[in-house]
Amino acid sequence: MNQPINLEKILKNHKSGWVAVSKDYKEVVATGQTIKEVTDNLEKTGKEGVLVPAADNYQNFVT
Amino acid sequence: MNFPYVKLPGDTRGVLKPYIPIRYHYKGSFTKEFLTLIDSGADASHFTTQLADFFHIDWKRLPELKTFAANGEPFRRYVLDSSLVAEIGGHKLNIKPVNFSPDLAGAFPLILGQENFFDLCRITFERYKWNIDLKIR
Repeated sequence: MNQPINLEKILKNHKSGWVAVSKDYKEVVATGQTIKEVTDNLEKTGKEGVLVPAADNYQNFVT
Repeated sequence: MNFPYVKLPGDTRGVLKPYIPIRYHYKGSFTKEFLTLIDSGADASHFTTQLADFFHIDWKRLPELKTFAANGEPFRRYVLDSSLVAEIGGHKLNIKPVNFSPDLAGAFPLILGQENFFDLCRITFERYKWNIDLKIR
């Protein structure tokens, strides 16, 4: 069985926009309200990251 | 290729979703990797208009159509009649048509759905072991 990537704790205080998380998914390395802003902010850090949507609710959707 | 499910904030136990990391390319420019929802219930792929803005696509001038949510409520989409490339684990897939919408929920700004995604690869949702098995055809 795989271990899921657990973003529960590191996303808890981010309710909108975007979060860049480190490639090992252990820490937030940049944030921004838009894709351009988070990309620019991530590039300023010089780190690699994966962009994740930040939301106040991820649950109980039918898409 | 195998991708683990992603655990996100939810009620007491959190919520697990099939998001996988994907880099998008359009006309020579490309994004960072995004966690993107793989949605077998979506007829087609939908992307936030922020992605169009990133690629300098004037989405307001694209043809406007409607998509319908599960409760029958319509929302706007703007259709780009050329391909966006989704790079997954080094493999590049042409996604077309591309639907940009300003109305997607914050948790799901990037959705890969049935048309021109599920027919390009075999996707097995192995939720019982928190795995998404994806094989390019």
